[in-house]
Amino acid sequence: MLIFREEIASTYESVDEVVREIVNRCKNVDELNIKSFLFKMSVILREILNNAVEHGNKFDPLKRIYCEVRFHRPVIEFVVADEGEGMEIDMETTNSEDDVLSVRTRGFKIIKKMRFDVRVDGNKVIAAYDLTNIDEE
Amino acid sequence: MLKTVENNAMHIKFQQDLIAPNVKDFEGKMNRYLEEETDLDEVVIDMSAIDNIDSVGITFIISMFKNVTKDGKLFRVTGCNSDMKQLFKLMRLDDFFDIEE
Repeated sequence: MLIFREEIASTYESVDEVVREIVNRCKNVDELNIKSFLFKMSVILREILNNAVEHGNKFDPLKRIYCEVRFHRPVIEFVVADEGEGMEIDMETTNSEDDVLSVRTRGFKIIKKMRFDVRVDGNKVIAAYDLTNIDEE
Repeated sequence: MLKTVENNAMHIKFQQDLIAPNVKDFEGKMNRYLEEETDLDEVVIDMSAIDNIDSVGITFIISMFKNVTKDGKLFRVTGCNSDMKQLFKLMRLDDFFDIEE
Protein backbone atom coordinates (compact mmCIF):
# COMPACT_ATOMS: atom_id res chain seq x y z
CA MET A 1 0.00 0.00 0.00
CA LEU A 2 1.41 3.35 -1.03
CA ILE A 3 0.95 5.81 1.84
CA PHE A 4 2.90 8.77 0.58
CA ARG A 5 5.03 9.82 -2.37
CA GLU A 6 6.22 13.36 -2.95
CA GLU A 7 9.22 15.55 -3.66
CA ILE A 8 9.98 18.27 -1.17
CA ALA A 9 12.23 21.32 -0.94
CA SER A 10 15.59 21.13 0.82
CA THR A 11 14.57 22.92 4.01
CA TYR A 12 14.00 21.84 7.60
CA GLU A 13 10.56 23.48 7.41
CA SER A 14 9.56 21.23 4.48
CA VAL A 15 10.74 18.20 6.46
CA ASP A 16 8.53 19.17 9.41
CA GLU A 17 5.54 19.71 7.11
CA VAL A 18 5.96 16.40 5.28
CA VAL A 19 6.53 14.36 8.45
CA ARG A 20 3.32 15.75 9.97
CA GLU A 21 1.46 14.83 6.76
CA ILE A 22 2.84 11.27 6.76
CA VAL A 23 1.94 10.83 10.45
CA ASN A 24 -1.61 12.00 9.68
CA ARG A 25 -1.92 9.55 6.78
CA CYS A 26 -0.64 6.68 8.95
CA LYS A 27 -3.28 7.52 11.56
CA ASN A 28 -5.86 6.48 8.96
CA VAL A 29 -4.43 2.95 8.77
CA ASP A 30 -5.52 0.89 11.80
CA GLU A 31 -2.30 -1.16 12.15
CA LEU A 32 -0.17 1.99 12.02
CA ASN A 33 -2.25 4.14 14.32
CA ILE A 34 -0.18 3.27 17.40
CA LYS A 35 1.08 6.25 19.40
CA SER A 36 4.51 4.83 20.22
CA PHE A 37 5.09 3.74 16.63
CA LEU A 38 4.03 7.12 15.21
CA PHE A 39 6.48 8.86 17.58
CA LYS A 40 9.31 6.56 16.49
CA MET A 41 8.43 6.98 12.83
CA SER A 42 8.41 10.75 13.22
CA VAL A 43 11.87 10.71 14.84
CA ILE A 44 13.34 8.40 12.18
CA LEU A 45 11.82 10.21 9.21
CA ARG A 46 13.00 13.57 10.53
CA GLU A 47 16.46 12.10 10.91
CA ILE A 48 16.71 10.74 7.39
CA LEU A 49 15.08 13.76 5.76
CA ASN A 50 17.11 16.32 7.76
CA ASN A 51 20.22 14.42 6.74
CA ALA A 52 19.18 14.69 3.07
CA VAL A 53 18.56 18.44 3.47
CA GLU A 54 21.82 19.16 5.28
CA HIS A 55 24.38 16.67 3.98
CA GLY A 56 22.82 15.50 0.71
CA ASN A 57 21.45 18.64 -0.90
CA LYS A 58 23.36 21.04 1.38
CA PHE A 59 20.28 23.30 1.69
CA ASP A 60 20.38 23.98 -2.09
CA PRO A 61 16.96 25.50 -2.98
CA LEU A 62 17.24 24.08 -6.51
CA LYS A 63 17.58 20.49 -5.31
CA ARG A 64 14.66 18.31 -4.26
CA ILE A 65 14.23 15.38 -1.92
CA TYR A 66 12.16 12.35 -2.91
CA CYS A 67 10.19 10.69 -0.15
CA GLU A 68 8.09 7.55 -0.39
CA VAL A 69 6.33 5.53 2.32
CA ARG A 70 4.93 2.06 1.62
CA PHE A 71 3.26 -0.42 3.92
CA HIS A 72 3.70 -4.12 3.08
CA ARG A 73 2.17 -5.77 6.17
CA PRO A 74 3.82 -6.09 8.65
CA VAL A 75 6.69 -3.95 7.33
CA ILE A 76 6.58 -0.22 6.70
CA GLU A 77 9.28 1.09 4.39
CA PHE A 78 10.60 4.62 3.89
CA VAL A 79 12.62 5.62 0.84
CA VAL A 80 14.38 8.97 0.83
CA ALA A 81 16.61 10.12 -2.03
CA ASP A 82 18.42 13.40 -2.41
CA GLU A 83 20.46 14.95 -5.24
CA GLY A 84 23.77 14.79 -3.41
CA GLU A 85 26.77 12.65 -4.16
CA GLY A 86 25.76 9.86 -1.80
CA MET A 87 27.40 8.76 1.40
CA GLU A 88 29.11 5.91 3.11
CA ILE A 89 28.27 4.96 6.66
CA ASP A 90 30.73 3.17 8.86
CA MET A 91 28.25 0.76 10.42
CA GLU A 92 30.87 -0.56 12.84
CA THR A 93 31.26 2.90 14.36
CA THR A 94 27.53 3.47 14.19
CA ASN A 95 26.85 0.23 16.06
CA SER A 96 29.43 0.82 18.73
CA GLU A 97 28.58 2.15 22.17
CA ASP A 98 31.11 4.98 22.02
CA ASP A 99 30.64 8.39 23.62
CA VAL A 100 26.90 8.96 23.64
CA LEU A 101 27.42 12.70 23.97
CA SER A 102 29.31 12.92 20.68
CA VAL A 103 27.42 14.41 17.75
CA ARG A 104 29.07 12.53 14.90
CA THR A 105 26.95 9.38 14.60
CA ARG A 106 24.02 10.28 16.84
CA GLY A 107 21.39 10.24 14.09
CA PHE A 108 22.17 6.76 12.82
CA LYS A 109 22.54 5.49 16.38
CA ILE A 110 18.96 6.59 17.05
CA ILE A 111 17.74 4.75 13.95
CA LYS A 112 19.56 1.53 14.88
CA LYS A 113 18.50 1.66 18.51
CA MET A 114 14.87 2.05 17.43
CA ARG A 115 15.21 -1.25 15.55
CA PHE A 116 14.80 0.17 12.08
CA ASP A 117 16.62 -1.69 9.35
CA VAL A 118 18.56 0.86 7.30
CA ARG A 119 20.26 0.50 3.93
CA VAL A 120 22.15 3.22 2.13
CA ASP A 121 22.55 3.02 -1.61
CA GLY A 122 24.41 6.09 -2.91
CA ASN A 123 22.12 9.04 -2.37
CA LYS A 124 19.16 6.86 -1.39
CA VAL A 125 18.30 5.69 2.14
CA ILE A 126 15.82 2.88 2.69
CA ALA A 127 14.59 2.34 6.24
CA ALA A 128 12.19 -0.44 7.19
CA TYR A 129 10.40 -1.29 10.40
CA ASP A 130 8.68 -4.57 11.18
CA LEU A 131 5.57 -3.75 13.20
CA THR A 132 5.69 -7.14 14.94
CA ASN A 133 8.63 -5.63 16.90
CA ILE A 134 6.18 -3.37 18.73
CA ASP A 135 4.82 -6.34 20.74
CA GLU A 136 8.34 -7.21 21.90
CA GLU A 137 9.23 -3.69 23.07
CA MET B 1 10.04 29.27 25.16
CA LEU B 2 9.07 30.51 28.64
CA LYS B 3 11.64 31.37 31.28
CA THR B 4 10.92 31.60 34.99
CA VAL B 5 13.43 31.87 37.82
CA GLU B 6 12.59 30.78 41.34
CA ASN B 7 14.93 30.02 44.26
CA ASN B 8 18.01 30.12 42.04
CA ALA B 9 16.48 27.59 39.62
CA MET B 10 15.77 28.62 36.04
CA HIS B 11 12.82 26.79 34.46
CA ILE B 12 12.69 26.73 30.67
CA LYS B 13 9.41 25.58 29.16
CA PHE B 14 9.50 24.81 25.44
CA GLN B 15 6.28 25.73 23.68
CA GLN B 16 7.34 24.65 20.21
CA ASP B 17 8.72 21.25 19.19
CA LEU B 18 12.45 20.65 19.72
CA ILE B 19 13.13 20.10 16.04
CA ALA B 20 15.62 21.44 13.51
CA PRO B 21 13.60 24.46 12.24
CA ASN B 22 13.22 25.79 15.81
CA VAL B 23 16.53 24.96 17.48
CA LYS B 24 18.56 27.93 16.21
CA ASP B 25 16.11 30.35 17.80
CA PHE B 26 16.15 28.33 21.07
CA GLU B 27 19.96 28.35 21.13
CA GLY B 28 20.11 32.14 20.88
CA LYS B 29 17.54 32.61 23.64
CA MET B 30 19.10 30.02 25.92
CA ASN B 31 22.57 31.58 25.60
CA ARG B 32 21.09 34.96 26.46
CA TYR B 33 19.21 33.58 29.49
CA LEU B 34 22.35 31.91 30.82
CA GLU B 35 24.29 35.16 30.44
CA GLU B 36 21.56 37.16 32.20
CA GLU B 37 21.06 34.79 35.13
CA THR B 38 24.36 34.60 36.95
CA ASP B 39 23.19 33.26 40.33
CA LEU B 40 21.69 29.97 39.26
CA ASP B 41 22.10 26.65 41.03
CA GLU B 42 19.93 24.65 38.64
CA VAL B 43 18.41 24.65 35.15
CA VAL B 44 15.17 22.69 34.64
CA ILE B 45 13.90 21.97 31.14
CA ASP B 46 10.14 21.45 30.84
CA MET B 47 9.06 19.39 27.82
CA SER B 48 5.39 19.02 28.79
CA ALA B 49 4.07 21.22 25.96
CA ILE B 50 5.85 19.50 23.07
CA ASP B 51 5.29 16.28 21.14
CA ASN B 52 8.17 16.11 18.67
CA ILE B 53 11.93 15.99 18.89
CA ASP B 54 14.71 15.12 16.45
CA SER B 55 18.47 14.59 16.73
CA VAL B 56 19.07 18.34 16.33
CA GLY B 57 16.84 18.85 19.39
CA ILE B 58 18.62 16.07 21.29
CA THR B 59 21.97 17.64 20.40
CA PHE B 60 20.66 20.96 21.74
CA ILE B 61 19.64 19.36 25.06
CA ILE B 62 23.07 17.72 25.36
CA SER B 63 24.79 21.02 24.61
CA MET B 64 22.64 22.74 27.28
CA PHE B 65 23.56 20.00 29.76
CA LYS B 66 27.28 20.45 29.01
CA ASN B 67 27.04 24.24 29.17
CA VAL B 68 25.09 24.30 32.46
CA THR B 69 27.00 21.61 34.35
CA LYS B 70 30.49 22.84 33.41
CA ASP B 71 30.02 25.55 36.07
CA GLY B 72 28.77 23.06 38.66
CA LYS B 73 25.07 23.82 38.22
CA LEU B 74 22.44 21.09 38.26
CA PHE B 75 20.47 20.14 35.13
CA ARG B 76 17.33 18.07 34.71
CA VAL B 77 14.56 17.49 32.17
CA THR B 78 10.90 17.26 33.24
CA GLY B 79 7.49 16.83 31.63
CA CYS B 80 8.58 14.18 29.13
CA ASN B 81 5.84 11.99 27.68
CA SER B 82 6.53 8.25 27.85
CA ASP B 83 7.80 8.04 24.24
CA MET B 84 10.21 10.91 24.71
CA LYS B 85 11.45 9.50 28.00
CA GLN B 86 12.05 6.15 26.31
CA LEU B 87 14.00 7.87 23.51
CA PHE B 88 16.23 9.65 26.03
CA LYS B 89 16.83 6.38 27.87
CA LEU B 90 17.59 4.64 24.58
CA MET B 91 20.25 7.29 24.00
CA ARG B 92 21.47 6.64 27.57
CA LEU B 93 21.01 10.30 28.46
CA ASP B 94 19.61 9.20 31.83
CA ASP B 95 23.22 8.30 32.70
CA PHE B 96 23.98 12.03 32.66
CA PHE B 97 20.91 13.84 34.00
CA ASP B 98 17.50 13.16 35.54
CA ILE B 99 14.65 12.69 33.10
CA GLU B 100 11.20 13.00 34.67
CA GLU B 101 7.68 12.53 33.29
